[in-house]
Amino acid sequence: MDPPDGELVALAQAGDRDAVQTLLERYERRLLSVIIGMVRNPEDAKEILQETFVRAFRSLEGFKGESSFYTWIYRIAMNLAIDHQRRGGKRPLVEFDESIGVKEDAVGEGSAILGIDPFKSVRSRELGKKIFEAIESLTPDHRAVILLREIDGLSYEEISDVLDCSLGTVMSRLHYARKKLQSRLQEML
Amino acid sequence: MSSHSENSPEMTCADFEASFDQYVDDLLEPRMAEACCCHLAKCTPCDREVTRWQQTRILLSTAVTDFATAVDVSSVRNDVFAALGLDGRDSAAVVERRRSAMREAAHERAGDARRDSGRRARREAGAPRRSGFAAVLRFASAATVSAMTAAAAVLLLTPAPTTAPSVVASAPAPTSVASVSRSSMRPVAWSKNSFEDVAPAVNTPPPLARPEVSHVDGLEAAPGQLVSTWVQPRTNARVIWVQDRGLGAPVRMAGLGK
Repeated sequence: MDPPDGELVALAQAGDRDAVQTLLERYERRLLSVIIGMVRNPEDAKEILQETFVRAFRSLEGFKGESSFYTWIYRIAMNLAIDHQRRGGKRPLVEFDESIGVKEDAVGEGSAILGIDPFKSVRSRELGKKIFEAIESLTPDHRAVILLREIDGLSYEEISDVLDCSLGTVMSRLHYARKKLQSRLQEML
Repeated sequence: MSSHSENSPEMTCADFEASFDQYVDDLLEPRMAEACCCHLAKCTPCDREVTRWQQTRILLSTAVTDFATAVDVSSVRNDVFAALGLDGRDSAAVVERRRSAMREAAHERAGDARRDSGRRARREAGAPRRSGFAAVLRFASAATVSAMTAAAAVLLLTPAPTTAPSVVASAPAPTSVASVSRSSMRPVAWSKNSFEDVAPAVNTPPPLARPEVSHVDGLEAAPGQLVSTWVQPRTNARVIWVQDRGLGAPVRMAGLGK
């Protein structure tokens, strides 16, 4: 059974390299998905991911455990990603690559229920591009809320903690972001 | 969390709109959720709105997750260790833990597939609408985890560079004969992972580089047999190649994403 974050954080604070690596492996993919939704460019996303871990582990001694480790590291990542977006990004946005296909069996059941074929659809360059354009039409704050909720499945409370805003703000941003995304993607549904 | 009064007989569209986010996030109390379901059963526009959001949600999560899965983060890990002044090599404990996690992930994938089949059967048997919706949500999460796990497994299993297959195993001592038959077309059995044979490939021998151990990710060979396994970078298909020493043998392919 995997050790809990708290145990690993304590070990990492004591300089245990394996604990650092385990935490890194546990969160790198989860964080990357949200970061890449924020900045779209893979190189920028990797830089932000790296900076997130470096900052987190460098300041690990000061981590008191008042919030969970993952909330804490998400907060660092989202602050960096939002700052990056507010600065206008560094690199040109990367177009959705049609070679990055969606596993057919991964969406087959959903498509059967909903009467769409997301596998076929998402695989197309045009649709992938439009999905990312729809995400980019949101402000960084709205984008952060929708990605944390829909990509990583954080609860409203956790999102509120990560973004340091009230529960009501999370809910209103989420509602707005959903409506806007839905309206931007309406023609494809 | 809604303007809808529990005492009022009918939920209006405005009431439902106010509860929309909690409804699609499955956060409503049972009584409110039931009221929403009743409203949706009668209100086509609201019902269509929910369906459209479900479609949007699937498109969004699959697009972002797939885009992220294609990004190689191995350099990030090394750079983080370098920045922290830590040794970048994996310890034996980490390697073993990673293998163990992969085995567990393979079990979970197999379990997900079984559960998905069960849900499909229930839905076909006429399960109520809300169960279907919950199944979509659970499925979307499972699919995301499954896709990411499969991608992670590819990254962890793939020898670098992936274009040069090199993982080779020989069997110096008797092992599990059951896993590799002696017929010309050798079925390759996995001890735990449920890799699916897709199609026999051509008899192109892989580059046999460095014979090592007889156990490759749960694959066991009979004495005197060589086993090679590698991942085709473009398709993520895992190729498993079994050969008696000195004899050619067919190649079996298994899709990791299946």
